[in-house]
Amino acid sequence: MAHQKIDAHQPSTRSSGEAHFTQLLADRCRSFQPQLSARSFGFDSLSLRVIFIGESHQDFFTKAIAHRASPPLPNGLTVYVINHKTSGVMLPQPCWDWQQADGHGIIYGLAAGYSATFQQDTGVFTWIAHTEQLAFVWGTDFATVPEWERSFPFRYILHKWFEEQNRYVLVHAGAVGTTAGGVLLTGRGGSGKSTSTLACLQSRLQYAGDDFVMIDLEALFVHSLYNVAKLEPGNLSRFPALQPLANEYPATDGQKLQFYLHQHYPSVVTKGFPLKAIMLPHFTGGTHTSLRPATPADALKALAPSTLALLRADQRTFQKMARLVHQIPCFWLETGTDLTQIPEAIDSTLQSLPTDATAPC
Amino acid sequence: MPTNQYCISPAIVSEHFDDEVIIVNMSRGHYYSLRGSAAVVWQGLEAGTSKDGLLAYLAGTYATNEAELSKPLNSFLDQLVDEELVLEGTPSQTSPLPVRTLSKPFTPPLLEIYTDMASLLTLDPIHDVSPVEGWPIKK
Repeated sequence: MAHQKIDAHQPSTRSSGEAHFTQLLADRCRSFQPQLSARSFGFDSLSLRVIFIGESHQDFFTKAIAHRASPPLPNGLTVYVINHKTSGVMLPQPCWDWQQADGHGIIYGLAAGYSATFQQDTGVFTWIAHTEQLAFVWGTDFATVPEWERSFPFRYILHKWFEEQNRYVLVHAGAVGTTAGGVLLTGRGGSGKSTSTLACLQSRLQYAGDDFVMIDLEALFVHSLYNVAKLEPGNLSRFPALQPLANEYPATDGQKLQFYLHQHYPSVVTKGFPLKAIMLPHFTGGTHTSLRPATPADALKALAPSTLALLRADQRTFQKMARLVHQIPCFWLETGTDLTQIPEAIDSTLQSLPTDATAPC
Repeated sequence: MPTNQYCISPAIVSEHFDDEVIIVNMSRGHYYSLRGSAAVVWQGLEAGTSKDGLLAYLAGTYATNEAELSKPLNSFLDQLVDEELVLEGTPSQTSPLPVRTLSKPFTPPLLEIYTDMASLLTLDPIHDVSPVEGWPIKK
């Protein structure tokens, strides 16, 4: 069994196997008929061109990123989404030994410029060929992939693409704000990250995500990735804006409800905003919401563990997050039961910050 | 013979703040906070300082007798080894430590352990691969 060791899986220098695998798979996709037109999405510097091979439940992969639809740009990343059941397109023989894969399906030891993962539970294989600017998401049958997977399509691809760039990092956090600036909301499970984010839906603060967002560390800018709001069914009564939509998105057993905000409330969703602060929600049990300063270490403890675990990320992502928490003010967001106070507290703190807020925490 | 030298595990990442070090161990799925004397010891370990050297460094930093420090230091180092944050062995490089004196009294080094991430990192190795196509069989 191979365990992930952060520095223990140096890419090998061979590349012919990986390049050949990429070429074979690309040829199979390009020769498939009928070829459907591509759909394009923009994530700041990255243009994603998505081509479906076989009937692939396109909404499954595009609804959560519909607000990022954009004209295609040259030199983007082309992603083939291949449904084996409906296309018959099979993967070439692997050019690696499965002993190179860890328990999460991450395949180590590939040549530099290639990344891959095989999710055993869903049967979904993802391959990224950085130099060729190609990626593949292959599934045995997308109709059987769990519903919650549709809330973060292409997350592994986006993470791996930006992992090598010092400028960008994907983080496990919610984000709300205005064009003038906004905040990251992050914390350990049960801290109230989602509640705090969703509490802002009926305020002037726009929604950039409640799960994963992308940070531009040079511009200090939050880029929204997914327009999905997720909510425990038992909490629905606390969010009037979402109640009318509940029948459209019935929860599957034990899973959160999912609401595609761009479809229903497009003005609520933003593509991004300047990042002014990090806030760490903490439910107090009282009524009121207040803020107090947090340390950069507090922010890193809230942000890093789940980001690293969910992305299976390495030290590069950790170092980017460490860089981030040193750059902007951090606060504990002590939340209470009166949800209307949460956006008010965030907004008033945002307005009190300097317009070029880069003060240390 | 007791171990006198340690090296930092390659499976961890860490970040220093004013009086706190945050460490993440991705193999185990735990993360850690080291404050006060624990952060001082970690700084020493990163510099490749031996156990004897750490003892002297702590004594200088806190203006305390080495005899009082030995037991808590040993206990803390054992805990770091148990958590696989350091390995017993010769460090690949050493560097000088800054000379400093803290006005705070010495308190035993404490390793704060957070385990809430571990469930996200539960490993489930690939068992069955199709002999024909070479791909894992969907569970």
